[in-house]
This record gives sequence, structure tokens and C-alpha cells, in this order.
Amino acid sequence: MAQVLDIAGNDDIPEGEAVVVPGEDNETGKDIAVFHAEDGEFYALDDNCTHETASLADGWIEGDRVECPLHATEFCLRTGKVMSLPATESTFTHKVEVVDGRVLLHPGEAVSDAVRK
Amino acid sequence: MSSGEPTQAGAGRPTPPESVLVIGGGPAGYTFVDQLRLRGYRGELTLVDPDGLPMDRPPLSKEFLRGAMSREELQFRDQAWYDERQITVISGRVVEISGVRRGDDVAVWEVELQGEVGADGREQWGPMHRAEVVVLATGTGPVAAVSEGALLERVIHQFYSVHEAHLLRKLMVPGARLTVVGGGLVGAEVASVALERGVVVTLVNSSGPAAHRSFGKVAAAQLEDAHRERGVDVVQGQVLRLTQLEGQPGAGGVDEVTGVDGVTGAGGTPGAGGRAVLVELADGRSWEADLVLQATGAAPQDELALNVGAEVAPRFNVSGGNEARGGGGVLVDSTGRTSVPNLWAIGDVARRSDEKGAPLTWSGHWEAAMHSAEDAAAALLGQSPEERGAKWFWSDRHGQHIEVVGDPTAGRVITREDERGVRGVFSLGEAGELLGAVTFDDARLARAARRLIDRGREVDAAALADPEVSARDLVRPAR
Repeated sequence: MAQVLDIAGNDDIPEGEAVVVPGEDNETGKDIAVFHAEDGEFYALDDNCTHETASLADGWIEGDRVECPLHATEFCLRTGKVMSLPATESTFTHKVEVVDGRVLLHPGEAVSDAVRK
Repeated sequence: MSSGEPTQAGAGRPTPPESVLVIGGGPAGYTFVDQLRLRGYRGELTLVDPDGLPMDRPPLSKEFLRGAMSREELQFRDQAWYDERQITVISGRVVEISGVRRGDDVAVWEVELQGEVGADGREQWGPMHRAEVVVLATGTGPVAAVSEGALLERVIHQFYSVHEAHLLRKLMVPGARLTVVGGGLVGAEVASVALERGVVVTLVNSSGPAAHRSFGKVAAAQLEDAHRERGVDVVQGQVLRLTQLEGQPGAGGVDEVTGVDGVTGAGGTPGAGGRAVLVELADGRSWEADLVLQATGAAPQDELALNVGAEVAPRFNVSGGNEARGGGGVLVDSTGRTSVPNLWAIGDVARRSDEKGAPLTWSGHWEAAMHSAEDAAAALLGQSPEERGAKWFWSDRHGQHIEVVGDPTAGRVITREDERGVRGVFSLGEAGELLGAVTFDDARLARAARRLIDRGREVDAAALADPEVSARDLVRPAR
């Protein structure tokens, strides 16, 4: 089982914002973006876009999607599925849960409805 | 945006064609075949492009030119992806399409590819393909030469394919003197990459500031200042003539445009002298360059449509060019239908017309090309296309990511500036609504602006100008 990381209090990340958990701080070795979506839920994806170097945490979060800040590829926050060009590869999801007001990240543990990359 | 989940049109749904052939493998051609399969089309599907597997284009003057992206990375998908979807990709150049008629209708299109040159030096008959529906996605190509000397060896005449990108990449060595004619999107991007590589760059604009038709005057002036600050010599003027100075074969001094190997083989290293080009302006100024790029715009490659009698707009945007037939884009309705049954056009080669058939402004941008492909795929299968909002495109230069949404060329201008400089230039209409925006290294500001434009309501001008107001708060309803 992956090591669980306590990222923040659930009030610390405003809706529509995201934080990055650096690769050196999680056992996947890759930066992970944790998003606070407009539905109030938290989601996590690999931070780097599958197209070029860009941080999805800097992207525009709307509904259950994040739009890459560089070329506007959209990814589904729930499944990691790529929804539009120029990226063509989906990305990895990581399980996030809120327990007692804390946001807990399970790096490397895909959520159940994630797409296969 | 592109959800891939079509809405059903209901009654009047046409029978899907038995076979569809797409000519052109850029963003539009690729998106079209992808969408057609996603939307459930099961017929025969073929795509033809001279470069084979479909390829993205914007990186050609950016990441690819810089050497940060490979030829393979330009490709949207590998061969296996097309195989899985039973999409046949053919490497070849289409020379002619002709409709075989049955009664009043075109029953089937014959699509002829360029043949190989035989032992006798003559071109053989090329392979022939048949399809019930042909979709033109041929993009843009060179416009007529705008100045004498366009076919010299050291002059790259337009930039629209991987071939020119390769050529430039090889010739842009440190110390080489590059003159870029035309400061539009491509010209500016090439100038920026060239500077990074230690090339000495001169940029010639015929009427300045460059690309003000894309960015609006305020942002365009801002971008031109950025060129100068980084060390690009920006020159205002009309190029009269380009002349090969030495070593040119023959008295005429006009070589054929040669391929990558031809240029590097014959000319050696630029900057080493011996193959310089004299650039002369109409006002008498002149200088030498080792390499000239004519980036004066591209025109829709609409000859195939023209030759089968489809309505094609006259050429636009070319100063001093002949008023040739066509060259202004294949006229299409809002979903990509041309005036000829079973012939469609998408992406840069297409030109939307209004209800009365008059051509609308040609946009020629990456996202618009993909949207047009998606809309055509939907319409061909009798499904409803999505609603489209404000247009969007981007440009990268001097390390800055610039985005444009809507129409930033008209209206009252508002600027947002912080300690890093100008972050956004906004255009407001008469009712205080947002018409367009140009953003500098601020992706969220561009996305917020896009949503504000689509809402079409009066915006809070003070908030737009205030860098303390976050992009998200600009679109959030006041609480």
C-alpha cells in the first residue's frame, strides 16, 4: 500500500485551485497535482501534461475537468482521461480523500474508475 | 468542448456514406478521422498526406525548430492507433480528384495520387483511390512570391511544413545573418528561436506594428518592443529585391528551390560568406543576409476544389499579387459542406460563408481547424455540431506564452499590468462587454477572458485592469 500523505486542511485549498506535491515528497517520484474542484471534491493527477512540459495545477479547473495552461488540452479530473488535443495520452489518477478535515493523498493508487493509460 | 458525445439530430438523418477519403493530415484531417470513428462511423476511411501519418503543425516554428521536439513527437498517433480503428493512412500527394457521375449526382470520387517517375523520365500514372465522400483538409501553402528573388538558394520561400523547419534548423547556426520578411506569427516565432541559437536577426515589416490584425495595435506594439529589447533589428519597409551576391550559377542568378541536402551540400555553412543574399528595400536601404525567410503569409490550398467546380473565394491578403482564381479558401457552410455534393472542406483550406454565400473572415488557427473537423464529422453523420465560443490561439516568442481570445482589434482598450509587466490587453465593446483579449504568460487570464466574451455581458473594467483580482474572481458571480 502506498504511503498516505497529509497534504493540507480542506479549507487551505480554495475551490478552483490546486497544489503540487513534489516528486521528491511522494513515492511515485513524479509531481502530483491535487485539485479542489467546483463540486467541492478533491482530485489528483500527475501534474505534468502528457503533451509537453506544463503544470496542470496552473490550469483552469471547471466542472470535472482541468484545462492545461499551455495548449488547453482538457483532462477529466475523475478519470485522468484526455478530452481534447493536442495531448493524446491520458494521465494517471491518484486517490484523494478528506478525513477529519484533512486532505489525504494516496500517491500511486489509481482511483477506481480511472482509464488505463 | 470536444466531448465526443454527439447529440442526435433525430429525423432526417442521412445514410452514412460507404467510404470517406480525407486529403491532408494536419490537425483538421486527424481530428476528422478520429471524430468520425468516435461518432460511430463504420465505413471505409482513408487519409492521404504527403508526409504520411498525421502531424501537428504549431510546434514547427517553435519546439521543433528549437530542437526540443522530434519528428515522431509531432505525430498525433502511431500506425497502430490507425490500424486499431481501421483507418488507412496513405503517403502520397493527391494531384486530381474527379467525380464519376450517375445522373445528376456524383456517385463516386476518383482520387489520383502523384505517380513515380519512370526510367524514361516520365511520370507514371499514379495510384487511384475511390470514395463516396471526399474531405479536403489540405491546409495552406505558399502565396505568390512578393518580391523578386524568391527562388534563390538562400531564400526560404514561406514556412508551412516539416521540410522548411528542417532546412531552417540546419541553416540557423551561430553568427549567421537571418532576415525574416514578415513579422506575423510564424516570422516572429522563427526570429525568436533564431536569436536563441546565436543568429543575428533582422525582421522586416511592411506595415507596422507587425501582426496588429491578429493582436490589436496596443498588444502588437508591445510585442514589437519585445523584439527590439531582445536584440532583433526591426525594420519597417517594403522588400523590393533579393539578389544572390556571389557563387550563383548561371547569369540569371535564379536557382530552383533546393531540398535540405541541396542547400547544405552546395552552399556550405551560412555565415562563412560566399552565398550571401542582398536584401534591398524600396526606400533604398539594403543589407546582406546569409539566409532569408519569406514569412509573408500563406494561402489556402484550394486547387483541387477549384478544379472540380466548387465555389472558391478569391485570394486575399496578398499585396501586389495577381488576382488569381481561388486561393481564398473553399467556400463552405457552417459545417464544412462545399457547393459540390459529397465534397467537404475543413481546417485552413475552408472558408466559411454566411447565409447568403458571402465569404466570412478566414481565421486560420489551430483550434478553429479542429473544431471545423469535429463539426463536419458530426454533420456528415447527421448529428448536431457543438456551439462554439470565442476563438483562441497562442504564440510563443522570447520565452513568453502569448494567447489571444476573441477579437482584440476593436473597441476600447484596457491594460492589466503588474510588476512583471503587461499581463493582459482587453478590448471592450460599446456596451462594456468584452470583445477580445491578449494575455502574456497568464493562462488563467486568457481562459477567464474567453468565458467573459462568451457571456457577452458588461464586464467590470476596473477588475480587469487590477492585477490583484484573480482570473477566477473575474468570472465568479459576485457573492
